[in-house]
Amino acid sequence: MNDELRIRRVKQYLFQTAQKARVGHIPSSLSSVEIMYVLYNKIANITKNNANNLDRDRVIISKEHARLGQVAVLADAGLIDSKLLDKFMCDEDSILGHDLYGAVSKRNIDAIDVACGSLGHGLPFGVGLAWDSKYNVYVIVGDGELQEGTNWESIIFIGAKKLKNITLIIDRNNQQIDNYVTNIVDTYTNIARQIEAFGFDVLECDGHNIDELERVFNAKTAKPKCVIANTIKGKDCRFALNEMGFGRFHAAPFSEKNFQKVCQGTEIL
Amino acid sequence: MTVENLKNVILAEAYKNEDVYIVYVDGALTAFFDDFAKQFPNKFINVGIAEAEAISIASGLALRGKTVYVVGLAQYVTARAYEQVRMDCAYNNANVKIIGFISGLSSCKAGYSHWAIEDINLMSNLPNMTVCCPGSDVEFREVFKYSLKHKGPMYISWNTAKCAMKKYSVDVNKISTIYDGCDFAMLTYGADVSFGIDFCENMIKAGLSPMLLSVHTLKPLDVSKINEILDMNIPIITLEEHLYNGSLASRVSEIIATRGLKVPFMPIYIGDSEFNILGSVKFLRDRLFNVKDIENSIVDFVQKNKTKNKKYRLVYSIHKFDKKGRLVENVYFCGLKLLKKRKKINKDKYKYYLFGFLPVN
Repeated sequence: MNDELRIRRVKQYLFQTAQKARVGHIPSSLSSVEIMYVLYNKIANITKNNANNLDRDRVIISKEHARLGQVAVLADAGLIDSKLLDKFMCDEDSILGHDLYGAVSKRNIDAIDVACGSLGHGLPFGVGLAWDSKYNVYVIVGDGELQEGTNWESIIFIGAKKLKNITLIIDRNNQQIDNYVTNIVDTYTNIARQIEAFGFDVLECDGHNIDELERVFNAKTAKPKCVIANTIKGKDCRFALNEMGFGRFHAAPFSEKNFQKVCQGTEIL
Repeated sequence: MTVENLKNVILAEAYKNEDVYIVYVDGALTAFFDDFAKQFPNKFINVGIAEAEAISIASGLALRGKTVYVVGLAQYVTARAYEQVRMDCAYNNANVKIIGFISGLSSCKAGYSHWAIEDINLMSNLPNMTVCCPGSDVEFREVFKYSLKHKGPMYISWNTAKCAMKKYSVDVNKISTIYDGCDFAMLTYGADVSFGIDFCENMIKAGLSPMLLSVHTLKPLDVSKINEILDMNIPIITLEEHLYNGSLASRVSEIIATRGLKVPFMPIYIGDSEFNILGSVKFLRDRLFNVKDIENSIVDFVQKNKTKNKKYRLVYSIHKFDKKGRLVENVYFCGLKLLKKRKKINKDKYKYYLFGFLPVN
């Protein structure tokens, strides 16, 4: 199956899960689905066999709102059982919700590493994983999330210590829960120059183009690498924004009518 | 406890144990870790002035199977980085040991920005967290030893108060008895252990029989020992450099209230008073504690409840041995007599045993 078909399958998983569990955060997930797809399938050394090893690569989704997308990608890649999706955010499911309580030391849910329900935790956590180790760590951070101070503490640290086995990936969609990022505190417009100033090599690309993403992830850089992926929040379902307004578009489940629309748009196989 | 003490205990382990990492928040101790940092630049991370990041980095390291010690000023690694401790360490059950140094009122002249007088409350609230507050060298060593074996997050509060030199047995999960007596019981921890020892020595000289207990582990709390003391029906005093909420005083109150007991109880803690002052520790204790003039207040409190104390007296037995180790004399003493005679007796020839409690009419 080629990449295009697989991405469609991922999105179908995503919509089905969201519809069944009556949960939101669909637009945030659609924003970074391709990034996660490329990381799990083409870049990071994570397979079903080594998922519980300590020396494999790590992918940290610091913008935890994309958990739904991550689960869909993992199910598509065969890294988690697709039956788990039926239980997503249902009663007794503390595994695949906003957080991953107990995941770190008590039980590893296959390829999922870190609980980041609260924003600004993923990057410093990734620094701890990357420090003094040989594997690679990929951290996906939202552009609105960069308003959290701990991200900048880590960006300073990575730049100063020249930590090269951690890759900062910014999912740059210019939207946060209440409005456009540029309308709130602008961490969107000059972000490439700002991060570059801390000692990073910044590579920009289209965050929905799989070939381009693969190219930038494989590119060699002299300094620590930051990938800025320009994305669209709620790709394939932007129509819902007008109907729902900013806050509800971000977090609320879609209506049946909207679900039908998005599902029709991605009918596959 | 002195800083050398802290450094020696941690570094002795860090040098030989491959999996021990130190994440250090820039403070006044950099010089002490210099040699170690040069020798193991990968095992010592000075993150700069960034407590929140330090906790998250430590949790990341712990996820890889390392035992990570975060060393930073008590107030900042607990209160300032609380969300990181909560999310990354506690709920994740990460193997991170947070050593908060200069706890309590130790950094007296820096003002309330630097005092850690809510740390026990904050840390005890979190699931999976073990909270220790050693008051002497021997306690700190034992707690540290325990932290190497224990898998899970731990907070160790470390103060710079005068180090109590007295030797006594310490078991991390149990309350340590420093003096055993029957006139009143004093429960304390951290900086107040050395105060308690001085105070109890004076009380013994004055003819009382005090019981001094060091509650170095505040979570999980050794409730059975506290119940045992409550059953003795003697006046109980708690003393700590901490605000009331979540303090030892509040826990003991809870136990008393839950059991519906009528026990004379005197909690001493930092009251909600004016905090815009600074000065020496002694000055601050006089101004901030809910009880003024601690020593005399305790004596008054004990005197007031004295009728109840007379119910029990400690009985000691002294065993005298000859050169071959055979028992030649066996004498029983009641509380005070023994203590007065103790100094005169040559210690090599005699052994003391606590025999038990004897009811006195």
